[in-house]
Amino acid sequence: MEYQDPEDFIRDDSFLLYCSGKAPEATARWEQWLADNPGRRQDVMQARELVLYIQAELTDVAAASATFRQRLSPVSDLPAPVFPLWKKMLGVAAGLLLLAGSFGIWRYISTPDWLEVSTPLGAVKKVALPDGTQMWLNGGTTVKYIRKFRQSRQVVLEEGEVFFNVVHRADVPFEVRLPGGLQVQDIGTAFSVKSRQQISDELLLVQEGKVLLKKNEQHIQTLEKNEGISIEKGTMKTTAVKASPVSTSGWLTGTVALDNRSFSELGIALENTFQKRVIINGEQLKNRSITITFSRQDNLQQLLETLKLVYQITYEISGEQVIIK
Amino acid sequence: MNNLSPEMDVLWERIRHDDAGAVVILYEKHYTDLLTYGIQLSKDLDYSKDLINDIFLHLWEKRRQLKPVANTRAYLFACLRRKFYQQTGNKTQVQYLEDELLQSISAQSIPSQEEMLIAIQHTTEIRQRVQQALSKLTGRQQQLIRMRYYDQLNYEQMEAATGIAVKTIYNTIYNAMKVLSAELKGVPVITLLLFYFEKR
Repeated sequence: MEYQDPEDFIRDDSFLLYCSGKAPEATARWEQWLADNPGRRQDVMQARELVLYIQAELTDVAAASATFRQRLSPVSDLPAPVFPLWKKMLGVAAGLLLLAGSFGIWRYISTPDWLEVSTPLGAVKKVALPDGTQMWLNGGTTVKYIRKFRQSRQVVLEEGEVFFNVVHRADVPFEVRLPGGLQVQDIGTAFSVKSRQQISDELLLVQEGKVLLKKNEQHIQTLEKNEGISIEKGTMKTTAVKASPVSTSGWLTGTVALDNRSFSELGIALENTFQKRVIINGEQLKNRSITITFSRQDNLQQLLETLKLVYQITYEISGEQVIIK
Repeated sequence: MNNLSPEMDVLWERIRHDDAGAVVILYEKHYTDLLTYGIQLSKDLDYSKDLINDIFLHLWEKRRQLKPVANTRAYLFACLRRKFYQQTGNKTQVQYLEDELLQSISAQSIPSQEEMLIAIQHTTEIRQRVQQALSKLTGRQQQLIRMRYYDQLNYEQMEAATGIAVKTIYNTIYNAMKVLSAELKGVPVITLLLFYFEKR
């Protein structure tokens, strides 16, 4: 494509992704283009600025305000900010508030070195990390990340499922630790990780780019686009699995694809998608494997009817609760 | 532009008297203006969002020390500008700024009321042009642009979310961006900003 005027750039999909600053491949491509066409720097910057103005205009003020209110609440519950002690008290107040359980859809707990974010079941939350990396938390998820994100970029998954779209920086690796002890290090990529108490393995799925899987700082394996790995908790036995954009990040938009996963996991996915309490009865059923795709728009009862036919299960829906036997 | 808005003054007074609701209203009222101004300064959307959150949190923390102000919008613009200049020492924060532009920034300079009014006017002009351009798009086009470049979904995810075929999504966005690029032809961006810096 020929880029004559600044306006020509903004018809290019990869340029628009580059402007977002969060698509590693597009960023690499345009930085290279700039290096090859140094005379066009001003045009590129102008086009970039135009795109940002459009994005600013499309920004959801209500959502920004909701996040702002979350940050405001621990501050506003404090007495008049007069003493230097105040900063310490902020942490305590945030902790107390948390115990009171009075936080809305998500919350921050502050410690000196780590920030914690979590979501209740049924909520998907997007969080921008300080380096511009985006992380989406599925329902029932807790992650911590290091406060000084510039020197090292560390995220710890404590429970749940997270999708990352990582801004690549060669000098500062981006690393996610899983409860089982494995480390996932990105090389400019988008991927998801999952670890839940009720599920017997941990799962890593790669949607773009490459990731390194490490244990005790030792490199075990490299995974590429559309590859995944299941790691048995305890034994640490690994099994290669297929990944697809839908199985990796479909849940961001309400579509769940489980490929040969357990009924336990189906239960959690149903809870997250339909906001009902789901109980799977019997150990045998919990461990039984299932391959299924469904979305928020589906009718839960019709879905359960299909499961009944295909997997010979029975179910009961009573109010906010679903029991699968 | 520089006339006093009575409603705004009420908000300001409410903030000074510990009303947290008022700071949220003020935030929502000026958010997009400040974001547009933040982009003029930093060329970075997320960084601008951080700056805005910071200045409003700071405002709230210091509410007891706040003085009455004549023009709230100009005051907020000045806060954003000051915050930005305070932080430009840290270059990693403003990776998209060109060196010469960075050097032309002087952290010491205190903006005059007039300068802030010019900045507000410029911001208003940009927003009007962009709003006008966006009004040429259908709701569907706007929604898809948001999903693609804001929520960073790929075409398959968008198909899953909307039920529209990938090819149709692609064409819809392409046509929308064609409309926008035509509508926004000649919107003064960096040139005007450079002039703005030289003036100081």
